[in-house]
Amino acid sequence: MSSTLPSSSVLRFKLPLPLWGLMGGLGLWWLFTTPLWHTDPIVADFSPERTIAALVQLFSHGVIFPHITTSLRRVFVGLFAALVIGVPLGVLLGLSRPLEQATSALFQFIRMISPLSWMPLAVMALGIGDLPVYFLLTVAAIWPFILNTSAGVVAVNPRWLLLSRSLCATRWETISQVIIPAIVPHLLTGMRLAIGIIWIVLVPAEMLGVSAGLGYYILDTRDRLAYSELMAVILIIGLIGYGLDSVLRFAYQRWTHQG
Amino acid sequence: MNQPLTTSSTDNPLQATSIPLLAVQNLQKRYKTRQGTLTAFDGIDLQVQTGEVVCLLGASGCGKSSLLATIAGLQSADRGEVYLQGRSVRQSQPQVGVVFQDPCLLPWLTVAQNIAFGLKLKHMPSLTRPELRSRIAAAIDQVGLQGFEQSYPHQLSGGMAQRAALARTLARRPQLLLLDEPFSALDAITRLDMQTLLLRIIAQQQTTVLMVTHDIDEALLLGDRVVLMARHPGRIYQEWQITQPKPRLAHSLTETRCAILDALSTVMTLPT
Ligand SMILES: Nc1ncnc2c1ncn2[C@@H]1O[C@H](COP(=O)(O)OP(=O)(O)OP(=O)(O)O)[C@@H](O)[C@H]1O
Ligand SMILES: [Mg+2]
Repeated sequence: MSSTLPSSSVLRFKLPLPLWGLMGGLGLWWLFTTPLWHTDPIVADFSPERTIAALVQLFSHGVIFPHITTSLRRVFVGLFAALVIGVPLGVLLGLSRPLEQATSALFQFIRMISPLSWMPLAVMALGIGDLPVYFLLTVAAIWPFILNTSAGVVAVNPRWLLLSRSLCATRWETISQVIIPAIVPHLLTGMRLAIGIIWIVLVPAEMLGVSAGLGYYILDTRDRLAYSELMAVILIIGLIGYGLDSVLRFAYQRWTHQG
Repeated sequence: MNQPLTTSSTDNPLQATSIPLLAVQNLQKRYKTRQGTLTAFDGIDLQVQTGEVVCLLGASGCGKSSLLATIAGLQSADRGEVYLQGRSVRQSQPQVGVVFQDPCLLPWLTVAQNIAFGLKLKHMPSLTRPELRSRIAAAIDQVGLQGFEQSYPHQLSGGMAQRAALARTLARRPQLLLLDEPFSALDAITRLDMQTLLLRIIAQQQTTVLMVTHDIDEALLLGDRVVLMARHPGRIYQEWQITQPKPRLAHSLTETRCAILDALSTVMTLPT
């Protein structure tokens, strides 16, 4: 077995493989931007050295915190709204074959429209401020919930439904106590996809008519020509996104191991 | 339509005077398949008296499971009626408990929670917390699963899981137990264990049982009456009343055993 693994020599460096990729990325970034040999001051502003310095400053002055909390609040409001609308809808679609067939074309159609296309409409209908952002995020995140929930409901073990019937459970008891717990892994997958999409849509959505949030702050740094800060914000966005995804991946593993 | 009285029930004056707990009248079930309709069983007349244990024997595919599921109200009959204490029923009833061949435990609930699940449903009489707890404890005691209340189904062996399933059904105190080959997935020793357990529970609670099995010894060990089904379509072919008191010794019923085996081999060669 072990003789078939020539790559095992790599493991001797005691660095986990994902870290190697990260180091490689960092190396490339540094190579293309470092002030050591890039004389263009704008390019040098994007370098890891200056970005790290800007990052430290952003945190030590605390300027970034209100933007992070604002963005996270929007993420959770959007996610929650998508969950509250998407999951019941998904359950309904999973339970009713005719309903699923009636709506599938419509949903596939709407799903393929980038949520950002709704931006002008959202601003016209909901005005300027948090509301259109919430709307866009909800629209973006609702599909993974609907699709994963309905797929989960369809895949529920028919034996459990038979059991539920043999115990004279009402329809609602079957849904709440058999179907919903049974689709938790599907829900967590949906949630993970939803957060991924929300986090991507958030930044452009915040570039319109709001005065706080990470997306807003990116435009702000650009306007101030503070490029190292811009890079720092990009880094923060990546870090938070990665963190959110990791938490959900962990939750998924915990649940499926136990179940 | 004539009353579906079996010859054996007239032998017993006590049974003849009371309404049977379960009466099945001219029951028929057909499945629509791609090859056309398949009659799973037809013209089934069966009565089960209170306190009686009836074992349903038959070759594979003769419609035993279908019959049990139809009696349990899990699927509709195409003709005929099922009466529970003289009342016609078409849906699953709280006073009927079903145990399947597989334990069917919900994997995200512990053993105790699985039992509680069956007790807390709206159709069951509502229980206070202490009542609920004592019911669960009693059911767990009954099946000998003490110490595994907080275990999850994947932590149980096949026999233990089936005990938990039995406890879930027993905790609801059903008047009629419908068992579909509940022990056939278990190894011989565990099966014997479970049969003894069931025998004790039946004696303790005076439960009425209709049990599907294809193990003749199991039928002889547990049944007051053994009903043999023939297939294509599934129908009742012959039945035997077993009067010997329980617990029985397997070798003491050789005569009935041979008779059943004889009938079984005849049934297998019947033209369809
Ligand atoms: N849902 C269904 N749809 C179509 N045909 C079915 C269905 N369920 C059972 N059948 C058919 O009905 C017949 C009786 O099946 P059933 O499961 O009742 O037999 P059984 O006596 O329980 O057999 P076994 O001893 O193998 O469990 C079989 O021929 C089977 O193929
Ligand atoms: Mg069967």
